[in-house]
Amino acid sequence: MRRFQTRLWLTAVLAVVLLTLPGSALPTAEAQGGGTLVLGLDQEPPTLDPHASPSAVTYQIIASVTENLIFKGPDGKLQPWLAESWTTSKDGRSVTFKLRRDVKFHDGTPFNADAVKFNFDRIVDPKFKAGGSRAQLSGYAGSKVLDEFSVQVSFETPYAPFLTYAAAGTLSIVSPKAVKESGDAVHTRPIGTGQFMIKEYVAKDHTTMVRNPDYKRKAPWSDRSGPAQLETVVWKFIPEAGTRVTTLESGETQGVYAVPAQSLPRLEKNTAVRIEKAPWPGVPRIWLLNVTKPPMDDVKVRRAINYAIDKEAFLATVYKGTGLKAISPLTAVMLDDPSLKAAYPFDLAKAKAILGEAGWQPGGDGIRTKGGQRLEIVLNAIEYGGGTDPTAQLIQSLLHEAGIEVKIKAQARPPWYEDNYRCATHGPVMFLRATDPDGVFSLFHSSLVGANFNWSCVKNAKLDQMLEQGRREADPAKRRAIYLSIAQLALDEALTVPLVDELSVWAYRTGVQGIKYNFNAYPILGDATLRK
Amino acid sequence: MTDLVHRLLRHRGALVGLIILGALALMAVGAPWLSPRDPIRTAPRAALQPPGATYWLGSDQLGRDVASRVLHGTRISLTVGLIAVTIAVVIGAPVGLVAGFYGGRLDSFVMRVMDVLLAFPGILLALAIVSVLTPGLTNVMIAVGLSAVPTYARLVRGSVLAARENLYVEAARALGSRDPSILARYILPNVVAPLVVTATLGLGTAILASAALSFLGLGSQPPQPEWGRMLSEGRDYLREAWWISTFPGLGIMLTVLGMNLLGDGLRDVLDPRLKT
Amino acid sequence: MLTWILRRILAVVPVLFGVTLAVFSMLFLVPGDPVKMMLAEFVTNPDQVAQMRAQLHLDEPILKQYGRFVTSAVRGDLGTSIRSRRPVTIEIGENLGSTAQLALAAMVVAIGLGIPLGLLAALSRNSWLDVASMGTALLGVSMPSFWLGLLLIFVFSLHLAWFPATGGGDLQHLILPAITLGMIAAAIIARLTRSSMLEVLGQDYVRTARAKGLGGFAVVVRHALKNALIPIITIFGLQFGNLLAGAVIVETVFSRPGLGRLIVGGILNKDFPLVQGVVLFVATIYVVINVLVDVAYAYADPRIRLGR
Repeated sequence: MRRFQTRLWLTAVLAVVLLTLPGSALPTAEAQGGGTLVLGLDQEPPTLDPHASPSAVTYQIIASVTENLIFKGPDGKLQPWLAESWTTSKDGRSVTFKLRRDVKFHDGTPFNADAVKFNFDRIVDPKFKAGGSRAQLSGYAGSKVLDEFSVQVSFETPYAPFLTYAAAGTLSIVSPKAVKESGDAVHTRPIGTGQFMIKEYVAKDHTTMVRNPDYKRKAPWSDRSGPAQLETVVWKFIPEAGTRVTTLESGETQGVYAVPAQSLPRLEKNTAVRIEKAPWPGVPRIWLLNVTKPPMDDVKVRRAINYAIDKEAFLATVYKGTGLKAISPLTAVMLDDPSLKAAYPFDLAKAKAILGEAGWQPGGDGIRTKGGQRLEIVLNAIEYGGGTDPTAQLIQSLLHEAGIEVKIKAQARPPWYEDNYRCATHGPVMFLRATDPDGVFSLFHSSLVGANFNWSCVKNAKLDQMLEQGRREADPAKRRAIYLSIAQLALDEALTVPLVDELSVWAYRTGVQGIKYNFNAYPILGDATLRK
Repeated sequence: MTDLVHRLLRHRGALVGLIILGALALMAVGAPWLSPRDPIRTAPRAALQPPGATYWLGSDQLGRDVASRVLHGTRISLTVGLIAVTIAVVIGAPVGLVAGFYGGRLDSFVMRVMDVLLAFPGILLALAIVSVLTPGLTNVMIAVGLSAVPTYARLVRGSVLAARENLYVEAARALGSRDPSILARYILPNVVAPLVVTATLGLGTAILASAALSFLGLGSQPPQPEWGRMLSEGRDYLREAWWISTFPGLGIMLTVLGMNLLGDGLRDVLDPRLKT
Repeated sequence: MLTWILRRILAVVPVLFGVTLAVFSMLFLVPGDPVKMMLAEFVTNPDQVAQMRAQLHLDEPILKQYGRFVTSAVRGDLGTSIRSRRPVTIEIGENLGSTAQLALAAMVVAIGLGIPLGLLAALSRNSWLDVASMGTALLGVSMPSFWLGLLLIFVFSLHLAWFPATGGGDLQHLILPAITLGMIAAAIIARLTRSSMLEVLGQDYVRTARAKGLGGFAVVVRHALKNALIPIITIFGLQFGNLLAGAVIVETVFSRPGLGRLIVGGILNKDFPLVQGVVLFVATIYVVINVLVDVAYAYADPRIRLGR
C-alpha cells in the first residue's frame, strides 16, 4: 500500500512538472486567437471621428478600425489597400482609383465609389467641423463616380501630397449610412471597414473594440488573410504617466503609450517588458518664433536664440531616450541633409555676440537692454493642470544665460490657440504629425496666419511660392530639392527653433507580439497576439 | 501686555509654534544667502539626483536644486498667506464692525451677503474667483483673501454684539459719549483678541488654500519655486524621484503646523474660558 | 416646529438668489472676450463668434439674461458645456455619484477615526495619550491633502501595488482617495470631539450624575455623549461641505471622475457655462444640507427653536 501511494505521488508530481515545463511535449495553450489586450493611452481623444479630430490620439485607435484607399508602411512605400490600383492624370490634377469589390462596412453597407465620394465631400463641406483632414484636401475640386467601383478625385491645381494623405488616418473611409443616421454617435462609434469595430465608449475611462468576424481579406501589412487574432482590445485613458507605467508593470495593461523618459531606464531593465520606438514623421517638437513681434522681428535676435538653445539639454532630461536632435522644421525621417545638420550648433558665445551686434547690451540684472528696453519674450505654453511643460522651463532657463528674459504664459488649450491666432505672444512650442513634407505648408504659408498653423506669422512671398511649387511637383527628386530649399530658408531666416524629433514610444509586456506600425507610427493590431 | 507675552511663552504649544515660525521666517528672509544655488537655474545633465552631498534635498527634473527652491518657496508662501489674510481682515473686520454696531437693516443686508459668500463651501469660492481671473499668485491671494472675508466679518460682528450688551457701553452712552469713542474704548478691545487668534489660524488656512490652487495649476507660474506647484510638478516623478514632491509638502505642513500651534496657544492665553 | 422649519427655509431663499446672482456675474468679470476664449480651438471665421454669442444670449440686456439664467436653473437647465456640447446637468449627473461616494466614504473614515480618537483624548485628559492623539490630529489638520494623497499613492500604489493610483468606479479605487480626504476631516473631528466632550464633562449635570453615584462609563454614554453630539452634528454639516470642496483636490490627485475634476477641467478649459453650472449646483446642495443640519440641531436641542 505504501509503495503504491508513493508511486501515485511521484506520478502526480511528474505530471505537474511536465505540464508546466515550457516547451513540453504536451501542447501548450497557443495564443492562436482570442484574448483581450488592454492598452493604456496618455490622452482621451476629443472624438473618434477620423475626419473631425485635430488630435493625434484619435488615430492610435482608429488605425485598426477604419481603412484607407492606400497604405503607407514604415518603409514609406505606397501599397494598395481599399483601392486595388490608381492612376494619376497627365495634368496631375486628378487621381482615378479602382476600388476593391469585396469590402463591407461594419454596418453591412457596401464600400464603393459613392462611399469614397461621400467621405471626401463631407470633409470639405463648410457645415462640417473638420479637424486635421480639411487641410489635406486643400484645393479639392470634387469626386466623380465613374462606375460602382471607380472614382476620380480632382483638385484645382496639381496636388502631389494627395496620395500620401490618402494613406493617413485623417482621410480614412467611414460608412456614409452611419454618418447620415447616427448623428452625434459618429464621435464615439465610427463605422469603418477595418479588422476591429468599436463596441463601447465610456467617457474619461476607456473605449473597447472587438474583432470584426467578417473581415476576409489580406491587409497590406500582413502575411495572412482573415479576421484579427485578438478578440477584444480595450483602450484605457490614463493621463498620469507614472500610473500608466505602473499599470504595465502590474499587468493591468499589456501595453502603454508615451512612456515618460524618467521611467524608461526602469522598464528597460524589466525582463517582462519590451520597448518599441518609432520616429514620428512630420514637424518635430518646435518653437515657432513670431516674426512680427519685437524684439523677435529682428532676424539677428532669432538667430541668436537658435545658437543659445542647447538641444542636448532636452535630450538629457525631458526627452531622454524618447527623442533625437531636431535639425529643421521637418523631422529627419522626412528630410535629412548635412546642410541642415550643420545649421545651428549650440554656441552660447556666438549667441551673445550676435545679440551684441544687434544692439542688445548686457544689463545689470543679467538681462540685456537696448535703449532702455529689456530683452523680454513671452513664450506661449500649454498648462496641463499640474506642472507646466518642462520644455518651456528649459527654454526659459537656457535663454536666461544669453541675457534674454522669457516669461512663460501657461494657459489651457483654448486660450493658447487664441493667442497663436492673434500672434499675441512670441510664439508657442508645438509639433505636427504629417506624413508628407507638405506639412510645412500649414506652418509657413501666408494664407494661414491667424489659422492653423502659421503661428510664426510669416508672410514671405518666396516661401509661399516654394510651398505652392512643392505641392504641384510630382517628381520625387525635384520635390525633395524644393523642400530642402524651404527648410534652408526657414533656418536661415530663423523662423523657428527646431528642438526634438520625437519618438513614439510604446512599451509592451513580452507576451504581446505582432504589433505592426504604419508610416505615421500608429500601431496596427490586426496581427497582434497575446500570450498569457 | 508683557504679562500676556510671558504667558504665551510659557505655553508649550505656542512656544513650539513660535520657534517653527521663527525658523521659517529666517529661511524666508535669508533665502538668497542660505540657498546653495540659484533656485531657477537648470542643470539638465544633473537632473533627478537623489538627496546627497551635492544636492542636499536632491535635484528635480530639470536639474534645479530642490533645497534652494524649498528655501525660496518659504518666502512666497509666507507672503501669500500674509497678504491673503490682510485682504480678508481689511475688508471683513470693518464690515463686521459696522454691521454689529449699527445693527438694523444694514446688519441684515450685510449678513445676507456674507451668507451668500458662505454658501460656497471651502475652496469653491476661491476657485470660482480664480476661474474668471487669469491664473497667477496675485489673483490667488485676492481669491483666497476674498473668500475668507465672511469669516472675519462674522467674527467681528459677533464680538461687537457681545460687547454692545455690556453695561459699560450703556453707561457711556447715557453719559453722552459718542460712537467713535465708544467703539475705540469698549468695543475694539473685545474684538482684537478673537481676531488675532482667528487671523493666526487663518494664515495656515490661506497657505493651504493657495498651495492647493497652485497645485491645480491656477496659481503660481513657472519658474516660481512655489511649494504647491513644486508638488504638482513632482507628481510625474513620484516613483523615480520622490524628493521633488516630498520636501515642499513638508514645508507646507510645518508652516501650517507652526501657525496652528501659535493660534491655539494665543487662544488659550487670550481667552481662558475657551481653554480645554 | 413646523413654523420654525418653514421660516428657516424662507430665510434661505434670498441666499439662493444671491448665489445665482454671484454665479451669473462670473461671466462678466472675465477679462477679455469670454466667447472668443471659449471658441478658440475651432474659430475659423468671425461668424462663429457671433453665432455663439447669440446662442448664449449674450447680446440681450443683462437683466433679461439673469432672468433667463434663474428660470432655467429652477427648471433644471444649467446650461450647456462648450467643450463636450452636452447639457451641464448631464455632466453633473455622470459625475455626482462618484463624488458623493467619495464624500460619504470619507465621512465614514472621518467619523470612524475621529470620534473614538477625540473621546480617547478627552477621557484620558492631559495624559501622554491625549497629547499623542491631539498631536497627530494637529499634524493632520496642518497637512495639505494633495501631499497626503501623493504620499499614499507612493506607498500603496507605486510600491506595494495594493491599490490603483488613478481612476474610479469600484471599491478599490475608492479606498485611497477616501482615506486621504477622510483622514484630514478625522483630525478636525477628533479635535472637536475632544473639546466638546471636555466641555460637557465639566458641566454641572454631569457632576450631579457622578455625585449620584453613577459609574464613569454610564455617565459618559448616557448623558455626556448625547449632548456632546450636538455641536458634532453641526460640524457634520459644515464638514460635508468641506468634504465636497476637498473632493475637488483629491479627485485631481487621483484622477478620479467626479464634480471636482469637472470644475477644474472646466476652469482650465475656460468652459464657463460648465463651471457656472457646477458651482451653482454645489453651492445649492451645501445650502440645503446646512438647512437640514439646522433642522436636526433644532430637533435635538429645543432651546434653539423656542427662542433666540
